[in-house]
Amino acid sequence: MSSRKPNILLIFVDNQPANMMGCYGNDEIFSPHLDELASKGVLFRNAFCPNSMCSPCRASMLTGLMPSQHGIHTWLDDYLMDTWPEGYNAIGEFETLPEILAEQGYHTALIGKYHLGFADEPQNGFKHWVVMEQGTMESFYDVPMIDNGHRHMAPEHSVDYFTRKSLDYLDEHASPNEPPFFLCLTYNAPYGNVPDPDHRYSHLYADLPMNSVPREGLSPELIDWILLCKEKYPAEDFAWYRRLAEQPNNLPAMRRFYSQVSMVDDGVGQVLAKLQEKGVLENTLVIYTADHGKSNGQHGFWGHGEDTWPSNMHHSTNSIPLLISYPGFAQAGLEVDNLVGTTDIFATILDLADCELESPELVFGQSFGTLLRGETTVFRDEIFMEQEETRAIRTSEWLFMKCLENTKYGFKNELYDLVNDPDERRNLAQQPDYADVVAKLSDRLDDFFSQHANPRWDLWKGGTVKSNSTRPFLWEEVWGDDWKPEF
Amino acid sequence: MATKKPNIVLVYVDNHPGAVMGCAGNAEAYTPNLDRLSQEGTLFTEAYCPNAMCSPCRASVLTGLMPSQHGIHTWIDEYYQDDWPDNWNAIKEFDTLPEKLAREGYDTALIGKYHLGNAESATDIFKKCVTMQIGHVQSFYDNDIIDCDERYKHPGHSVDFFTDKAVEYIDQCSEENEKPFFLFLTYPAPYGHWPSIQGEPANRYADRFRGSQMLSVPREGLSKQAIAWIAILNEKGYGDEGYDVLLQIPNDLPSLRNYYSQISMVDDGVGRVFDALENKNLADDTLFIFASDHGMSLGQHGFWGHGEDTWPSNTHREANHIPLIIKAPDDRNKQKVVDSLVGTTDIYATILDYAGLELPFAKESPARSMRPLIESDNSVWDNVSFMEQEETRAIRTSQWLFMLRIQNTEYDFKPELYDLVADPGERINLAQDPEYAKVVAKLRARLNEFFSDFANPRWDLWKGGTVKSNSTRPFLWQETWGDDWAPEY
Repeated sequence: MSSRKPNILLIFVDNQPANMMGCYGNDEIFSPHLDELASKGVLFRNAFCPNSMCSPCRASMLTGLMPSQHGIHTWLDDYLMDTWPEGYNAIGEFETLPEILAEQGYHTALIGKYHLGFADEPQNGFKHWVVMEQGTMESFYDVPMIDNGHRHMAPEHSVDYFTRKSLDYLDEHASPNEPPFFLCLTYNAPYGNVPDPDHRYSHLYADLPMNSVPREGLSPELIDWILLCKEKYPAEDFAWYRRLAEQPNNLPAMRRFYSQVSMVDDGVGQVLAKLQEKGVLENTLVIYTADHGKSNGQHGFWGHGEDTWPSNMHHSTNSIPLLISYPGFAQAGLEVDNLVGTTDIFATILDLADCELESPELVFGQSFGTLLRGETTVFRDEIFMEQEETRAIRTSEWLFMKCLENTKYGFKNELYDLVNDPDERRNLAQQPDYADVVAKLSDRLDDFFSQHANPRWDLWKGGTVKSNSTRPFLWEEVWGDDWKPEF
Repeated sequence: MATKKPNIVLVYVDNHPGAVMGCAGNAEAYTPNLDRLSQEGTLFTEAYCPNAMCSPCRASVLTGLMPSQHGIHTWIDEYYQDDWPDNWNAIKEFDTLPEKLAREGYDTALIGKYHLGNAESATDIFKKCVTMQIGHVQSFYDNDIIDCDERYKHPGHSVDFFTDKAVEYIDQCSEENEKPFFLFLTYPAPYGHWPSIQGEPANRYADRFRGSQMLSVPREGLSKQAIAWIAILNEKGYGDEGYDVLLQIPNDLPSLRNYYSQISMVDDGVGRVFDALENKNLADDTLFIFASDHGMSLGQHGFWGHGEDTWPSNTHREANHIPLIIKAPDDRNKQKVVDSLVGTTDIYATILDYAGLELPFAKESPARSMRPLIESDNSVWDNVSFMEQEETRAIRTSQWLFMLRIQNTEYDFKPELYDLVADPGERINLAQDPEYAKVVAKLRARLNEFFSDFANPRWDLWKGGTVKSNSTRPFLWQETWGDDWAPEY
């Protein structure tokens, strides 16, 4: 490690729970490069995102803020683009990671998916800009791209496209003699079940038994959600919601999802080899993580925490992989059990790049630099999450999900004893023996959101969302018919 | 064989697909007694029911008629019992199997579930009745029993209870040694619905299934049609009736283990009843038949349960394939396996045949005696089975399964055609492929011809008819035939 600021490669993938990698103990996934990255760096066993949708987590990664602070509570729906203000940037009003790093002399690049507003022009302090036009994914092929102002269709699998663009970028900017770079590589994979033709790793998954996803039936909360969607949304949308119930236990769908991890792994291998070739690997902070997790059927639902009624924060949807290599700083082969979150990654990058925020008090984030060095240190033992009508606190001992009370739905809170019930199966929240635990966790949760919510975007206090919510009917019922999204 | 007519034991179980028996090649099912019975008699590997619900199949086996003839198109729902005529018996207008046999000198007994109207009315057609007050099984325990003149709650497992009663009956008949007897033993198991099979099993076979991976039921996601069914029920105002659990049960391993353990309970009962016959030296004088009312999808084809539990309804193999083992009253058919296509109504004709009664006229009933298949190795047999599930009607042959749907609805239901030789799993629908237009036309003609013979206009839903007691899609029939469409009795 030299005295100059480190290069930063932040690989931020799309919908990958921590359990979908060899190095996290999944022997059905072929991820040799990620496994090697873990062996040369630090693997976090308990990393969580603040929300389990794409846009909110991207916003949190770039601003260090919670959804109730930045206002993005779910995916920004591309179908609503016509209603967005001109040049809409959903986090334009905030100080962002690339802006701060650019001010400190970094060359900044976003290669991959953006999904925080119009993607036509570089945003948020990024200089180099190779992105998907939209956030929604229907296929990995023929995806419309914007390459620094040049619009075209990527003919190859878009993971390969973003890999190729990253290699080109590193060829130009990765050098011990150039200013440090911040490359934010946001692959649009593994994503989920995209019914594309086979790719070069599909054959590895063709006959997988998928035992790494235990077989279980659907949850009533998923069924309630799709039936509610049928009731509340146009009939033609039901085909989409119905898929949420078709995919759990659907082996071909599960295998297609898994197989995309190998495509990403292949790309990561190529990008890391390029860093080596350019002689910058020793001075590069490499972070591999995901926007959020995804249930492959665990707890009886498919996808995001918002795909149940009420929404949930079970491990599968909110756990994220987190691998960090920083030669000479991070201890190779270390595994960390401490609870860390997306906003901690934000704080850690700033810390290691020796940058400061204008308003650090807003950010619920703690640099885990000391954990990377393997130092015994006191680290906060709590993480907070929110998914519209559900908010949660997770500690090493408990997961407590609290639901909004002033609705007609009678939502029940959930409490899981993570020591005795790590799989989060036995809800203790209604048991009198646990009333004290519930009361304490509930207070901590309320206290947290009283400090980390902007009233304008605090759905629990009459606030709204940016662009769209997936349950607008709920907010209209709760806050009145004139409740509507803002920008 | 004695000069006396043979005794007849028809063990008719509730929701047991033909594939879930050891002798059917299922290594996870534990059915030593059924396996033994198949060694003593004839195993029919291709037996199908005409409908995949409880009451219609019970009516068909007792009358030899199709649902569109006897009028019962789905389970008779006790929720409507206040609307039923007094002491309503849904097949009272027919000359039923037990009545025919009684006229020939048989003693007749129903031991088990009736589910063809008011359970008290079973005495209209059976001389002795030990039955359950309701047909809709909620639990295997604590059932309300009608035992001849007594009424009581039985705390134990209902399979054991009915087995005890059947053994008692056999012993008694043997002692009296006067008349041949017909025992219709209708276990309310394995059943396969929540709450009766919810959670890990707790009966004496529970240990055998503890931790079982249940690989004999392949892991498979839900089908569009299964989800569409729950969605439309919800839309039409049936959202509170609990149908949505049908989407929760597939792939729920505790439920599958529980279900398999109930099959072992039934197997145990069959063994004890057969032992009772052997102990009394009656086995060689008895026509012993094991069958199920209908099959049951355990998640295959992405749905749970009955063929009507998809939208539109279906007649896939899992829903309509039944186990059928027949031990004739001599040992000529030992260890025989027959793969000819036979059906529930054929059980009716076979019993008549062995009892020396006249078979129904060919235009009255589709029922055919299976006796030639049992007694000869080269009998001529038309390999065909017909099925109907309200909006769906189907013909199955050795090569094809063709499901036709009623056309004059707003739902644009599509027919389905499967090539059972090339695609025994029934996965690739060929009905819309122009290359198969001729096959479709032929099968459609056969199907229409069959139902022009075997439907009573009053109960023919495709021609403006109605159902007895209830339909599970009354909204469809009201949309199709007008708001005044209503069930009758």
